[in-house]
Amino acid sequence: MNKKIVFIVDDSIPKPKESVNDAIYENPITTNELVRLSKNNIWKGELNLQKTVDNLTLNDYTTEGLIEVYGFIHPEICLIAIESGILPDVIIYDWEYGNSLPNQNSGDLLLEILETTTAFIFVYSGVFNMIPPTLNKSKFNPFSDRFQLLAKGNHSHLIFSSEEFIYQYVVSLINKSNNIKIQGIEIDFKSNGYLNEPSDILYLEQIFGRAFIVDQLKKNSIINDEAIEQMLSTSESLILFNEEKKMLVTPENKSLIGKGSYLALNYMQVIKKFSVQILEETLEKGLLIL
Amino acid sequence: MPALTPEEKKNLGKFINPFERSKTKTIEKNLFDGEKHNDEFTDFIHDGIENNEPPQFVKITVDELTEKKILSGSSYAEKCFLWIIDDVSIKIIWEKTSNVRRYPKQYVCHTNITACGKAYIGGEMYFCEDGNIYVNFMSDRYGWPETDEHKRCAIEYIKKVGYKNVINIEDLIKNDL
Repeated sequence: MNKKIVFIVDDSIPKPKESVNDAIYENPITTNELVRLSKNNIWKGELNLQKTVDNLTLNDYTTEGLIEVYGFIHPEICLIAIESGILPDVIIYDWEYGNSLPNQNSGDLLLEILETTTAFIFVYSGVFNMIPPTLNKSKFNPFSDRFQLLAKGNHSHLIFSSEEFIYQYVVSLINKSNNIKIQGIEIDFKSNGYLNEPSDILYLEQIFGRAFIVDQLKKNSIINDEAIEQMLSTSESLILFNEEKKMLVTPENKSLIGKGSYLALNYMQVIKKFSVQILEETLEKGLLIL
Repeated sequence: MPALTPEEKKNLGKFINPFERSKTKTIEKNLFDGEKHNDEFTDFIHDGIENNEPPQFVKITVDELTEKKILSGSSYAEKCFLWIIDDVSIKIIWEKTSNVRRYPKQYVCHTNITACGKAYIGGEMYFCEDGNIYVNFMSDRYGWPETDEHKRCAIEYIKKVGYKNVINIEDLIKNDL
């Protein structure tokens, strides 16, 4: 397995009295240094960041050297590290840097990082609502599949909290089977024939709604073939599939198939035969051509 | 260009909330953060009353129509415009307009035009280099009206506000059966 490198770029990484003059802040802060900073201090006002650092530094993969985490207190230090050849797979990027970096410059530096790496970037901030007007600008469009905006400590935007989502994303780069958390529930995610990775559960959420998914997860605490089949079997809805035209339609749009023959597939069969994304797309559009 | 007349409103069918025609989806269950607001997109939402070309205008090529199977009912977000008809007129937005509050698809949906409000009907449209505008009614929120007459009236209204050569993709699919 290839090692994955994670950057955490955030000026809220604390500077305790005993470390305030350390040169560590002018360079990439290593995993061991991050562990020490978290172990010896409570990060007042930044407990969510501390939780994210703990999640990423105190797990078996990091112990085994499969995840390496670096901290940076400013994006410019991060860019110097990238230039020196440390290439991250994932970057957790805070937006605000006090007076040292106006909002506009934060967007420009993010753009520079997007242009100089292939990393996936979580824009992870306490000022969530300030950021979309910048990230929605067309200059970010070419990179739209490489970043995700998350609010620190947010538990309602996605079925995952922001911290849960970052953790499952990083560990899924190493292994598809992991212990993760969803809505605070410990979930044993096993490789299965329905969902490629934990974040695919967001498609199930789109189809069934959050309350139903959370209720199912509380009952099972596991995501494997059996648990997903149990979840899907509660729906009696069907999708019609015309093999010849490679057409999937919802029953209301049966007339689009005409006199051609079709198979009536339940949701489980659609996901197994195609994918959860295909099912979600068919339900959204009413018609999908494969 | 004209706003909807009372007669046209009547002919378009019911003025509905998002998902009101859906048998499986509801606002409470299926509308998520990032899908209920439009204030960030007002510069990009085009009122068809004003003129023909929406912001971020892009044409689909004839080759893309074939490659992406648009006339068979497929979608191609890069060249797709979402449309709805609300209580006043047709509103249009380029589907790939960035919406970073939404996930997993980080671009706008039909309720980002209406701010989760009501509309008569909606779907997708493609402005093609062949001079035609190809329109469908594919939207889980406002699409798939109950009758073909409602679809015909929507197409008629789109023509009335000034769009030329508007073609209902569904007619092409059915003619191909």
